[in-house]
Amino acid sequence: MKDQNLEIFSKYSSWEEFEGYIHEYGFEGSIPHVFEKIRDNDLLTPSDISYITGYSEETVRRWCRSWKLKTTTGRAPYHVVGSDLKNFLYYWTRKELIQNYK
Amino acid sequence: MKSNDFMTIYAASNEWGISEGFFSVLKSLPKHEAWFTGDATQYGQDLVLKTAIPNIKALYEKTCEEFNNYTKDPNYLNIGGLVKGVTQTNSEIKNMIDSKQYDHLFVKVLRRKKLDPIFGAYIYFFKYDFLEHCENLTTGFLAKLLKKRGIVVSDATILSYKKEGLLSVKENQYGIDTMSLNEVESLVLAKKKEKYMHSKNTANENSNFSVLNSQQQKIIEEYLSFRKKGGRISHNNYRAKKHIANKEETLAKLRSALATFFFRIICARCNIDQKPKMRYAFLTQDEKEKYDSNKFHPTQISEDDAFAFMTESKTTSAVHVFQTIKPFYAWILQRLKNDALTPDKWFEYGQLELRIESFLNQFPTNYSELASGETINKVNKSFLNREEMIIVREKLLNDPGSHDPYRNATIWELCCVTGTRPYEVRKLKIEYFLLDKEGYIKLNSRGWGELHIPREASKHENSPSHPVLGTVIPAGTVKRVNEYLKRLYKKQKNEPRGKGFLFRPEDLFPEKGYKSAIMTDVMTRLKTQLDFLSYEQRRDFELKASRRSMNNLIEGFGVRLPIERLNGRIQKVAADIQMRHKISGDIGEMHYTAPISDDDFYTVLNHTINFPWNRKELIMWEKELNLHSSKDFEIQSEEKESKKISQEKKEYELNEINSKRLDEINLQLNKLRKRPKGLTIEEWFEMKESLEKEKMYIN
Repeated sequence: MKDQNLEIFSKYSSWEEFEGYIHEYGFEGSIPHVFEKIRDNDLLTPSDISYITGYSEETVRRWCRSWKLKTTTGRAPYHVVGSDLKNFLYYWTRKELIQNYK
Repeated sequence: MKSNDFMTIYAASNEWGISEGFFSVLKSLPKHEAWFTGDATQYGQDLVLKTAIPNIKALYEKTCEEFNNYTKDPNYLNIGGLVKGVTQTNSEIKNMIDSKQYDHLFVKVLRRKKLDPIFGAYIYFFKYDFLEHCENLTTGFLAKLLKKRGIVVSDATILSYKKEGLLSVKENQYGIDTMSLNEVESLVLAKKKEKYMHSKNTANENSNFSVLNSQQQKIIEEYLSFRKKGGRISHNNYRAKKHIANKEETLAKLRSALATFFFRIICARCNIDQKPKMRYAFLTQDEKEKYDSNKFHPTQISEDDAFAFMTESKTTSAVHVFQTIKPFYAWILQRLKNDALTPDKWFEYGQLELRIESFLNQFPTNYSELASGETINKVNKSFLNREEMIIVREKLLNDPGSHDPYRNATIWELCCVTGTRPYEVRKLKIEYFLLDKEGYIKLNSRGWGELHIPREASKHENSPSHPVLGTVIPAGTVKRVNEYLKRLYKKQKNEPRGKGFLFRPEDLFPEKGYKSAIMTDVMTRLKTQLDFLSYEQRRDFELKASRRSMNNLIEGFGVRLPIERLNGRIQKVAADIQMRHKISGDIGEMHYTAPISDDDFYTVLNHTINFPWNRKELIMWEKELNLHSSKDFEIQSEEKESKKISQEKKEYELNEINSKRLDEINLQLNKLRKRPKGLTIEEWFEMKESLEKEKMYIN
């Protein structure tokens, strides 16, 4: 696992796999506090997510509407499961995260 | 003086919370007239019976509820919305309602606020099918109805046709333009056909062919017409294949490949930098000014051109280029050799031959001729077991981004079971299947579907189905493909059934297939979700994995069939027939043995690929036949161990007090899944953290 090609790992891994990696080998860099505080089975509303990410509520709703962010029912009022939100946020941050464990 | 039995409507509406107009609505109905007549008319005021008011209240609440339900229901259309979208006036629509022809297309609810001068005491909700009986419609309704008929058009395109003056327009009572549905439908179909015919002619416009000068274009066209006729190219010891496969596609590819080859050499001679994928359109303005196609003639070629060409390209692409230009130059030399009749011309020819040979010798001929630092990217093949095949199908079905998920799932399942190559899937026609009269796939006497792929639809026109047995399809898959066909026939309207391509870019045109590979975007979207594969396998996952997995299921190293006699040679031959390979073996086995019997062929496939496409039923099916892939054993043993350990832990560690407290914490945590309204996000996080710390401590 540790010798794995980092480029491929960064492109094709999900947050859960990355979490598993941290659990096994440890991690020296800093992880955004959101990943620690949100539990996998939490239910978050667009206003919560906008507070966490800093984007406006309407932007978050647009993510939900265009299926970028997975929601529980697929229609308003939107609720996002914690694990899905983490996976979504991981798409943005993973390059920086993975650079740290080179 | 008022009688004690009555009260005024104003007072009743205030006291009971009923709108005032509702009373007048009820008053107009002969059914409820008795509540408002009799002594009530004596006083010159609107009065109502006191005893009737509870009934009126119940009726009012019921109508309110019905009204709300129908307004929320997307299948129904309010009368206000309908009237703005059609040509008919209110009274004409009222006549349509009264004629009782369309009773099944609308529902009526009592009005709550006031009587309508035309529609009276009722408000109407229409189904969308009602619109088909109206004369003309607005663009929004037209697009919606056409979508129901299987034609996808936006409002904007219909508007643009209207602006061009292609449609006859009528104004309705609100001053909105309306158009006839049938007229728009025929126009849209005609426009789509026109667009398709146009797109066929301009498919190769992007190639570099148009930037070459007339001499270069002429020589390429002459070469292509020679190959098209099936002319033989032979020069010295080299002999090219006489007939090329899939002429229409490969000739176009050859033209663009030769054109880019010429183009890149011209660029090198004009001092333009070489890039991996070169096109004239991608050059900068300075480079375009430098470009001069007259600097190169196909026969005047030297070693330097080869070096300039290969600086930026990898060995694999250089080999690929070599394979296309080798027969081209062999053809040029062959032609010039016939013309060299005088000694001078013969000498010239000899010089040319030397130059061309030294040029061609610079190219690598094999992938093994690698430079020291270079590596070849190889595909990491993935072989799925039955359960993983089912998982992939489920994921394709639930893919929110795809246009037609059921079609994608059908393609995947068909490829898993028949071993069709991705290249061949887009060439599959419905008439290749064994069909019944209505155009659906039929089962043969053994209860299997049959597919007979002819030579022209197969790889290199050289891999047809077995002449007798064909390529067989399990009954379950036949059922699901038939369901796909049912949808397709509904969408394609009046086109003949049982003909045309099975998978089409546009359902309305059965004779138009895909021009390039299909399912590529769907597969790239799927890659990240396949957690049962390694990362390299995920990167290289493709549709062809289905074909590889099928062969692995039939004749893989771990496969052991329950009937001992079938293992070995019979199993291998059955796999070769289903894969449409040549039957392998030595000369005796290939030419001097009787063919495999039908019974054996079908039983081998019955034990390997005729499985239920449902995970629960699959486990039962595999247990019955004692079939297990190696992956299954690993998973089972792992699961057993983990279960044992967890059971021991639970028994040993949890005492009664702790378990009670744990239950409480879990309940509270479960309540805190959603943020309570009074708390801010930070407070919410803190509460959860403290509870989880306690939980950790107890554990």
